Amino acid sequence: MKKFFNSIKSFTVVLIAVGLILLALGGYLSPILVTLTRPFLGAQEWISSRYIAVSQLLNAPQDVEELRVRNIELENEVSRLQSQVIVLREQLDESRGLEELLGYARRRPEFQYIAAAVIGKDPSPFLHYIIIDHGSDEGIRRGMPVVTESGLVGRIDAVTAGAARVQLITDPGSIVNVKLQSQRINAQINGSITGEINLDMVPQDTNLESGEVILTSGLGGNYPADILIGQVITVRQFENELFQTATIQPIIDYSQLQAVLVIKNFRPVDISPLLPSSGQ
Amino acid sequence: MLQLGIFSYLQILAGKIDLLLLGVIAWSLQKKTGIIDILIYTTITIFFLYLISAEPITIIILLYIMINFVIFWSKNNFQQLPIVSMFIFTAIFTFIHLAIFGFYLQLTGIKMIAIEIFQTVILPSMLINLIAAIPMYLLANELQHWVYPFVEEV
Repeated sequence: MKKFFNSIKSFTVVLIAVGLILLALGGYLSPILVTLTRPFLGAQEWISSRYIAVSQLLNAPQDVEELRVRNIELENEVSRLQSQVIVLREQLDESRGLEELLGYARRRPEFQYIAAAVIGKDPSPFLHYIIIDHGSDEGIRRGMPVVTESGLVGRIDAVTAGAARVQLITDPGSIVNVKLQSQRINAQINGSITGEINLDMVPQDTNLESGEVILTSGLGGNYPADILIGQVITVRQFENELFQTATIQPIIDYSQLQAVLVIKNFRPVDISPLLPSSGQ
Repeated sequence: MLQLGIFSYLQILAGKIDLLLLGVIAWSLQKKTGIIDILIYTTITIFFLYLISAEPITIIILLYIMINFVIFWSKNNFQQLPIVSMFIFTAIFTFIHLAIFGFYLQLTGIKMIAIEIFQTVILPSMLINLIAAIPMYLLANELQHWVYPFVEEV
């Protein structure tokens, strides 16, 4: 009898368990489960949130410090890259300039050139000289002509081992023998204290007009022939004067010179012994 | 080097700043600088100018010796305010320097008109030098404290 009741009890327990499982699988126990688990979930949430808060409290300063360090590293990296960009741009500009100079050198292969950078300018307001970074160690000698890819710059006036001083054609003491391109008329140009270049010694019967191109003539032996200087912009012709004069617009901006070419294999001819002295 | 690489490019008309001249005047005007110190500084300046400038060395030597002795004499006789002296001597010696050199260029045969030289070179140079006179004086004054620290403490 007792065995029978035990069997019924076991059967009932199994039946209830299966029923509960089936009810749970069918979703009928959800409201009860929610009600029963809510206090536990609340407690769990409270514990979890406090743990996270404490954890952040303990770890946050380290993160900020790490971020700060990282930020400084990135800022340094940005600065380094920016300076690298500037350097590369400068190198690009320089290489473009050198490329143009190289192009000029290729167009005039009869000359040997030394490329030099402009490193300074004469401090005197009366004088128009520049200093270049090559000197006698590289074979530069006094009197050598100096050009750029565009035209004539001047000539070497003084030399040291590592640098040289160039007298620009805008210097008031500079005189260059020139010719008018279209008419083959010889003349000369003079510099001035304001940096203007003036054309002089043009015969009165010459038809001198603005736009006329001026080239070196090679007379006097100081400069090679056919180097471009500039164009006539203003002509001054007075009947009571022997020659016409004009203002020249130079092809080069002499205030912006950065690199020049020294013609190495051109040696100026000293004709002073051939000139008659004033006493004779 | 600053003069050669930067300040020679700064111009008002054809006038340029002359830092070396200003440096010599400012240094000579300092109370604690003796004649020997002034001459040493001037010699270095003349040597530097000889290297970089095409200006005749005789003009440079005469000018700077004149600057040294005039300023040294004035400092020991009637100078009261060095900053005012800085202005006066800057104007006077800029004018004298450029007038002498302009006259020299005329003698060498370079065609120049006196009024043009005055308007485009001398006046602008005087103006730009006067603008730079105070900073240069203050710089020399600071350098003096650095060079003669013990003298100041006593």
